[in-house]
Amino acid sequence: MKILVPIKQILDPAAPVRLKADGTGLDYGLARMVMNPYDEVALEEALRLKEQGHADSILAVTCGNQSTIPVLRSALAMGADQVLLVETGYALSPLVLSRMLAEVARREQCSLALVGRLGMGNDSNQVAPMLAALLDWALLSFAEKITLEKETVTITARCDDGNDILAARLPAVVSVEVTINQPRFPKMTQLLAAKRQAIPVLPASELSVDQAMKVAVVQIRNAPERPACEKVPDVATLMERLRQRVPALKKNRTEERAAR
Amino acid sequence: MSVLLLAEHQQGRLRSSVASVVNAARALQEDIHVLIVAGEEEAMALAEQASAIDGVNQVLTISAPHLEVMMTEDVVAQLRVVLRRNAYTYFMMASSYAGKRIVSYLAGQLDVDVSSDIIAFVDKNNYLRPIYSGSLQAVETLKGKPRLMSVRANAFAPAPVQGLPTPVVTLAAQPPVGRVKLLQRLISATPGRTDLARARIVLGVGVGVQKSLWPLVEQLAEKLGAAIGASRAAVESGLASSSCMLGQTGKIVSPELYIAIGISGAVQHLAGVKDSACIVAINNDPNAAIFQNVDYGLVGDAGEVLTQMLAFV
Repeated sequence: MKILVPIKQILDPAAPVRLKADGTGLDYGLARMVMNPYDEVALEEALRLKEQGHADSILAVTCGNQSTIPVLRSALAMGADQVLLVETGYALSPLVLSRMLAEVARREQCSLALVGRLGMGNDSNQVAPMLAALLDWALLSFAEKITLEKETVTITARCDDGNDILAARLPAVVSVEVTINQPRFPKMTQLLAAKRQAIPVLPASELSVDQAMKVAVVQIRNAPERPACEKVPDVATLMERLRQRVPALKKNRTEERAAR
Repeated sequence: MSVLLLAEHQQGRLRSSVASVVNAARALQEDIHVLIVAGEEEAMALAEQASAIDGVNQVLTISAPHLEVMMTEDVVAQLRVVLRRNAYTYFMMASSYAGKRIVSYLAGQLDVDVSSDIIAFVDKNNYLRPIYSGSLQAVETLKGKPRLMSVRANAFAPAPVQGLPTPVVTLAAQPPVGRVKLLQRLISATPGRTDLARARIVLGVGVGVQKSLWPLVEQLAEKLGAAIGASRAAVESGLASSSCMLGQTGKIVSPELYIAIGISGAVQHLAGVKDSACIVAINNDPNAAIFQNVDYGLVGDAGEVLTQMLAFV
């Protein structure tokens, strides 16, 4: 059984992102590029399933230009058996990305896809459900726990009011919550070995999938900023400020007076 | 040219998000049809609630025993039939956990993209959504039909309930898909405590609040009528359940007042609370990042501050 893990290289999520002053693009500053933390836990989960004897191999795939090769080396260092760069020259919409991943899953005969539930940056939460629909596989979303027993995958899913325990037969797409595990740090020897490995590159055009996007970004702007923080010296001052400003607290006070 | 809106519900009541999504849909200036997918016993009561929301032109219901649990694949099977029936131009629902799965699964089946987490409609064709954990905002436009969108409900005021009922149309259900089985549903909401989505005041608790201080947090929440949320770190360390996690991949709230206690202020946490009308941070570290993104900051020990606040409310 082969597990597909899509990987996205992102800007360090701890770094603040703003637009360049001339509005021509994003100001990355000195921020590093890292593996999307949601994909990192998905890969870690795949590694654990393999270590438990439930999977034979793990394929980590990214779609992008050559600058995303380092993220595939990180995946190799963590323990992925196989990596693939689907080379594209432009940013993909979630639909086109899902179409490419679906084609890779078919060609590589994967039967489980573990997908980080959110690709940071675009923040859209869309790839796992789209991939499941395009492949016509079972969809299991927002896993906080995954178990695999023979051909059945069972997850504890995060929901709006608690948790669902869901089960489906393979093939399946499972989206993974970032709280599911603590990903491992590769050893120095693994990092060095990954540096020497050749990275297979497949031009997106050879995947023969429809690359027409059905969404276009018209404009990107900075989010409005909150005015500077007022540091208050004590609880009394804080409560005074809040009573003036927060309607819910004003109401409490009126009720209090009425009660007296 | 009309909008189909899927209504979410729980225990026989529409979720509070439905009226907000209806209000959001009004920006498209089309007829608004609300679809109820539910078990047989609750469908009519839900349809009545939906038909009373101002701006709703028609209510559609599909009910069957297997629809009581709202499995994604079953809901999407109903949606596909309804969307074809009336050639809807738009489909939208709240970007809850359920909404995120349903809209994107439907999109994959229909081979279209989605605008997710919309916080404002610039006009009928241009939609504003947060990206990069809310540091930036993108204006997007959709091609193809139908245009699928998920809406961040608390970015829109709820449409009023006017009580003039609109027509209710009952449609036949599609049979169960049955690929995914629900083995167990665990509801973790604490009875009697204010719901995060509806609360006017939310207390956010981080790892800076030790377990021994939780009774104080709960007392304060009760006195203020506040809901309790938690940071990811607090959830990971077992202090709080994941259903009350606040942040980018947890619950997104925008109460009148958010008080972050012992939370350092990662961008991903702020993404879930930054639209609150007023934000307070209480932290013993004067250099905590959270102080850069709040209205009022108080440097102090969580236990002492909580005790003093209890005396004030």
